[in-house]
Amino acid sequence: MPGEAAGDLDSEKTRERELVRRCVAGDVAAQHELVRRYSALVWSLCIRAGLSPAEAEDVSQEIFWRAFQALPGFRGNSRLSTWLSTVALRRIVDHHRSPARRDIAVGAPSDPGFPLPKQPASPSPETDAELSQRRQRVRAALDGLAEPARSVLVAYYLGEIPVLEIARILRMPEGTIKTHLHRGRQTLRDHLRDLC
Amino acid sequence: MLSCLDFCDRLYDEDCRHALAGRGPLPSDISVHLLGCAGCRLVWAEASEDLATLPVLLLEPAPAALQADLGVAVIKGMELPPALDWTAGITWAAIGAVLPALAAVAGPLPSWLAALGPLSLSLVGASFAFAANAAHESLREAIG
Repeated sequence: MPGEAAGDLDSEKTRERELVRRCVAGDVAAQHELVRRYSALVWSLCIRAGLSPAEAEDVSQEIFWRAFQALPGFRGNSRLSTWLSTVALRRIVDHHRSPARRDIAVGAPSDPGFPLPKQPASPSPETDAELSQRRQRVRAALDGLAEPARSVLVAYYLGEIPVLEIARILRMPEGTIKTHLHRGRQTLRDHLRDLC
Repeated sequence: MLSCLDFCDRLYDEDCRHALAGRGPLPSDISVHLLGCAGCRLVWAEASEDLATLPVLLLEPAPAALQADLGVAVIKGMELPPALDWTAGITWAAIGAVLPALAAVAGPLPSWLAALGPLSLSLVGASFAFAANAAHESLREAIG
């Protein structure tokens, strides 16, 4: 039920505000908790947006550094994961735009010998195999997308960043972002269709 | 009344995201369109499926080394080095250095400015431009 889901969301927001309050107050345990909760999200945003594992590690650290600096300004209007994803997207976009990045010959994850990150562990071997296969398909489909389409798709679905915010960060019209999302979804669906 | 094209655009708006995820009510314009369009009912179902499955497929755990580094950084008070974009700063400083020279070429400068000399003017221009860029970056960061 939407009402129940909205109630869950409210209590989650309350928990997040409390976590942020403790982090800002200097509670190291809370800061560890924030990193533990969101490191997978930040890492995935970086790696799925086309950064190499080495770049993703550096950029992830910078994102957390920036997030901790900006945390006192978190008002709880959005979910903490969305707020953190916005911080991450800004940094990823800067990274994509930096001239140093353009000079680096970075291979695509589909290239032979490209160091792929480890796959997550799942409880059931059967589910694990299927999920792994679907993840590989999604990764291959994302590799086929050019920037900024890839970052747009990742920001919207993984970061849950609203279209308007993505448009603001990427300095693009809202309609262009929606077009990227529509085409990107179709590409991913085409890659996943064979598995269904 | 929404057209099918408008319907596809509306799918990515936040009220629709909430409805697709079961976190909010169905917007009235969407509800009306769905009643009369079988094709868009399929599109809506696919969008709902994508919203549920794509985050799972896109998410993966962070490497242990990164988690360890972040853990150490937390203990040290998150003293990670900030990424300073020197390229942008230097570019703006260069622009700031060249502008006084261009202004001098374009026309005579006020006497109090001309008295500084071309080198001093360029240094002042570069400093102002570098500082303005740094301030802009800080402001953008603070606004979040």
